[in-house]
Amino acid sequence: MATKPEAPAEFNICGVFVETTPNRLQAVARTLAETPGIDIHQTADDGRLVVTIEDTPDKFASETLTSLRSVDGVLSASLVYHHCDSEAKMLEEITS
Amino acid sequence: MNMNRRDFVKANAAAATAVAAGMSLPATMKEAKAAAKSAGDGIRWDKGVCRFCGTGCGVLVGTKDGRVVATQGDPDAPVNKGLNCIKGYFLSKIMYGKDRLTKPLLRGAGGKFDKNSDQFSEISWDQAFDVMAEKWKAAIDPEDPKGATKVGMFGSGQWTVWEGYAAAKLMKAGLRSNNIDPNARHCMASAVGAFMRAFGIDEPMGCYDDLEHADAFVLWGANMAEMHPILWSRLTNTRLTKPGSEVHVLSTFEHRCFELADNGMIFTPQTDLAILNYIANHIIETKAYDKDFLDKHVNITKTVTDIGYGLRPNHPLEKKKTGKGGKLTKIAFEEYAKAVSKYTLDYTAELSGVPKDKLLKLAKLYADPKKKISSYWTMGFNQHTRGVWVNGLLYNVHLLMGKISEPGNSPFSLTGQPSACGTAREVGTFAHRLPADLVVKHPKHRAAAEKIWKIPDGVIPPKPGYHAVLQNRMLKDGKLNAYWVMCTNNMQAAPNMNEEGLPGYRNPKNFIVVSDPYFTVTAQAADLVLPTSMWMEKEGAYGNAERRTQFWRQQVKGPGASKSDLWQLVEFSKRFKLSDVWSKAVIAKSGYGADKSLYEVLYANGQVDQFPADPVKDAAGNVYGNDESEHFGFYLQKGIFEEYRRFQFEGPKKGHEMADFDTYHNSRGLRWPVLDGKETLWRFREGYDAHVPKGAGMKFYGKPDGKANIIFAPYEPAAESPDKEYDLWLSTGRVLEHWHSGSMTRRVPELYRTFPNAKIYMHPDDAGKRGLKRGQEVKVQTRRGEVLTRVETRGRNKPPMGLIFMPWFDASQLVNKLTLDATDPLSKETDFKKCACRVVKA
Repeated sequence: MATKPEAPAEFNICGVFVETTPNRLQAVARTLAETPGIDIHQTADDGRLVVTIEDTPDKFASETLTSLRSVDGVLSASLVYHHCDSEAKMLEEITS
Repeated sequence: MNMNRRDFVKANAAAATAVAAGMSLPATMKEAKAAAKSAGDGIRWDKGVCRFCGTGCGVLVGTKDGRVVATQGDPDAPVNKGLNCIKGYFLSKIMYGKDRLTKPLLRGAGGKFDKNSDQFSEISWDQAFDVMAEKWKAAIDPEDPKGATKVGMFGSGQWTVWEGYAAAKLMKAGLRSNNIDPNARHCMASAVGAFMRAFGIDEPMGCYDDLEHADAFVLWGANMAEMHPILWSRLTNTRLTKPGSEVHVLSTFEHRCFELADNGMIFTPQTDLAILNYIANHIIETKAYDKDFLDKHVNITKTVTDIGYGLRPNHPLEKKKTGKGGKLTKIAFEEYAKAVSKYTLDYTAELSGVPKDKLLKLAKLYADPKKKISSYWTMGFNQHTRGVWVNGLLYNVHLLMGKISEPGNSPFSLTGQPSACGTAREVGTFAHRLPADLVVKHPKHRAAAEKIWKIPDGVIPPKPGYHAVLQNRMLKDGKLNAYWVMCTNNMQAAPNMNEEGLPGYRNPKNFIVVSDPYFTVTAQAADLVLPTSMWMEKEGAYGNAERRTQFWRQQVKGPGASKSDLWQLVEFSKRFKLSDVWSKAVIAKSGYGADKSLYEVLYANGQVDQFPADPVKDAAGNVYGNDESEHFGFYLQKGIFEEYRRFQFEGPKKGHEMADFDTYHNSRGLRWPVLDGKETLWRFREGYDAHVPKGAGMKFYGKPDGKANIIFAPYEPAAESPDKEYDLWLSTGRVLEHWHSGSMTRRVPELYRTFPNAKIYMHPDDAGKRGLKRGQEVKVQTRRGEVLTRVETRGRNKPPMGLIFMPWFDASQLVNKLTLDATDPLSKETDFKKCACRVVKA
C-alpha cells in the first residue's frame, strides 16, 4: 500500500497565469494580494495577472494554486513554471 | 546586485509566466532576470513531454546536479503554448518518491523463490533473469504450432514508442506469442474498433486546432475540465471569445464541465445509444443531411445485434445472446432511415431522462449546416459494453452532415495516457495487431512484418492472443503461466479483482513478473518485481491524441539498479536461443543457427544496431546520457525507430508515415502522416492531406473503395442494471489531482494532503434515504465484493438520484473489487461505468 508520504524539507515556487474579466480585475488582485504565499508581478487591463506562489508554513504552493479556482472572479489559473529545491539551497546568496 | 536563490527563482518564474501570458516584461523584471542569468543558476533546460495524460503538453525540464528541480510549460509547444495544468507541478516530484524500487525483489526469503511466502528478498538482475528465463522456458514448447500460448505480457500506453515496439517484437517475432495486450485495452480499444470499422485506419482525422475553429463543442462522456485541463482551457477561451459559440455537455452525472455548459444533459446510463440515433433521425426527418457527401463518400451499413456482454461463456447473459461479432451488412438509405425512426423525441426523452427541449436543441445544433462542431469523448463512450457501437453512432451523425475532416468539424476521441496512441495503438501492442495498423490474422500483414523483421514466414502466430480481461481469466484458469506486467498497475485497474485478477496472479501454476518504479498493488501481488527507470531517466518518445509524435532526451539517471523497460526487454532476449523458442523446421527455414540468441535475431540484427552509440547532443551542444547506448554499444532507440518506420513506408497500409528519428529530437513534435517533411492536420480531405488525390475532394483511403461507413446499431441495455437488491448505478473514474491508479501522484506529499482518499459522490436525497450523513463511513457492495469508503454529497461531482461515482486512484479503497468484467464483445474493453451496487452504513 502507498503510505502517507512525509513532507520533505523542500521549497516550492510556482509561476502562475491567472485570468479574470476586466471589471473584476481589481477585486481579484486585492484577494490575491491578501493571500499568504502569493505575489502579484504584473497585471493587464484585460484581466490577465502574472503571479508567483510559494510555500508558506501552513500550505504547500500547490494547495494555494488549487484554491485559486474557488476565488470569485477567477476564470482560470494555469501553472507555467515550477521550481522545487531544498530549503537550504533556496536561501543561498547569489551574487552577480 | 545581491539576491538569494528564492528571489531569483521568483523572478524567473514571473518572467516565464509573463511570456506565456503574452505580456511584455517590465524593466525591473528584465533586470532581475539578467542579473540572475549572469550569476548562473546552473540549471540545464531541455524540452520534454508531460508524463501524464494523452494531451501531450510540451514541458521544459530543468536539471541541476543530476536531479530534475524545475519544470516549465514549453512556450514553443503548439499543444499547450507555455501553460501546464496542476499535474505539471508534480512532474519533478514523481521520480523522487521515498519508496522508489532500486533492486529486483523475489518473493521468498534469502533469494529463494517461494510462491507462498509473504516476503520479498533483494536479488541481482542476473538472478532475476535466471529465474524468469527458467519459468518462461518451462512454459514454451518450441514445436507447438499454436506458438507459446502459456506466455503473456501486459503492457502500457505509458511505454515509450521504442519500448512498445521492442515488447511486441519480443513477444510476436521472438517468443511466438500474441498474448501481449496493453492497458490501453481498458481505455481506447472501443475507439480503435470504431475507427477501423468506419474509416479502416486508426486515430482522429482532426487535431487540437479544431478547438479554435469550432463554433460549438459537444462533450459525450468526457470530463475535460478535470482530465484534459489544457484542452479545456483552449475550449473555454473559444467559448468566451467567439460570438455565438456554445458548449453542450452530456454525462450520467454533473461534473465541472457543466459550469460552462449552455446545454447540460444528464442521461440514464447506456441511453447515449438512443440519443445518437435520435439525432440521426432528426437530421433525416428534417432533410438536413448532406446528400452529395453521402453519395460520394459514405456507405450505409448495419451491424449484427444482441451480441452479449463479453463475460465468461458460461455466464447466463452470454447464453441468452442471439448474435455474435461485428459483421456489417450494406443497407439502403431508406432502411437506415426506418431503423432510426424508432428513436423519436418522445421515446428518447422518456428512455434517457433528458428533457425534450434539451435533446431538440442538441439535435438542431448538429443539423445546422452553418455550425462547425467538434465532439469530444473519452471513457464514457469507450468503457461501454457497446463502446464500438456508440463511437460509430457519433460518426454517423458527423457523416450524415459531412461535418468531418475540416477545421472545426471534428469527431474527436481524446486519450487518457501519454502514448496510448503513439505506442499502444500505432506500434501494435494489442493481441491482434502489428505495427502501423497491421493485424496478425491477415497473411499479407504477417508476411510484411516477417520480411521487415528478417524472420521466416510462420513465426508470427495467426490467431490473436489473449486480450486484457481474457489474460486475467486465463491466469485464473491456469492456461497462462509465465506473465510479465510492465509500466502499468493492472491489479488495481482491471475489473472484478476479487473473482478474476487476484486469483490469477496467486494461482500456484503461474509466475508473475511486475516491472515498476514503485511497489504498486500489482507489484505486491507479483512473484518477481523489477525496478524501473522512468520518464526523464531514459530517452523517450510519446504519441498524443492528435497524432503528434514527440521525443525527449535522457535528463537524469534512474536510482540504484533501476533500468528502463527498454533495457529490460532487450536484455532479457539474450536469455533465449532460437532452439528454445522456434521449431526445428522454422529454424531451418530461417537460415539462422539454432544457437543464435533472440537478442541477435531481433535487436542486434544489422538494422536495429546500425547506428553508433555517439553522444546525444542538443542544439546548444549540451551532452546527454543514454544508458541503453552505453550498455548495448549502439543507439538502440534510433535503430528501433528507423526499423519501425519501414512498416510505415514499406508496409501494405499507407497513411502512417513519420519523419526520421533526428527530426523529432529537433522539433516540438509532428502530426502523422508526415510526407516530405510536412505534417497533416486534417486527414482525408484534399488540400490538407497529401494522400488525397487532386480533384477527389475527400477520400477515406483507409477503406478500399475510399468511402467511410455509417453503421446503424440500436439501443441495447447494460449488462447489469440496478434492481431491488442492488439499487444504484456505480460509475468509476478519475479526479484532477490524481493520475489514474495514483501510483505516482499518491507519492507526492502535497497531493496526498489535497485529495488523500477516494470517496463516493452521492445525491443528498439518496444519502438521506439511507440515513447517511456527509463524511460518514459506508460500505459499497456489489455481487462481487465490498469496499469501505466515505460519503460526499457536495463538491465537484453531483450525481443524480440513483447513481454514485467513485474514483479508482486509491490503493486503500480498491473500487475494482466491485466492478463487473463485462466487456464490449467487439473491442473487449471493460465497462467500468455501469454496474449495480448498494450503499449501507459501515
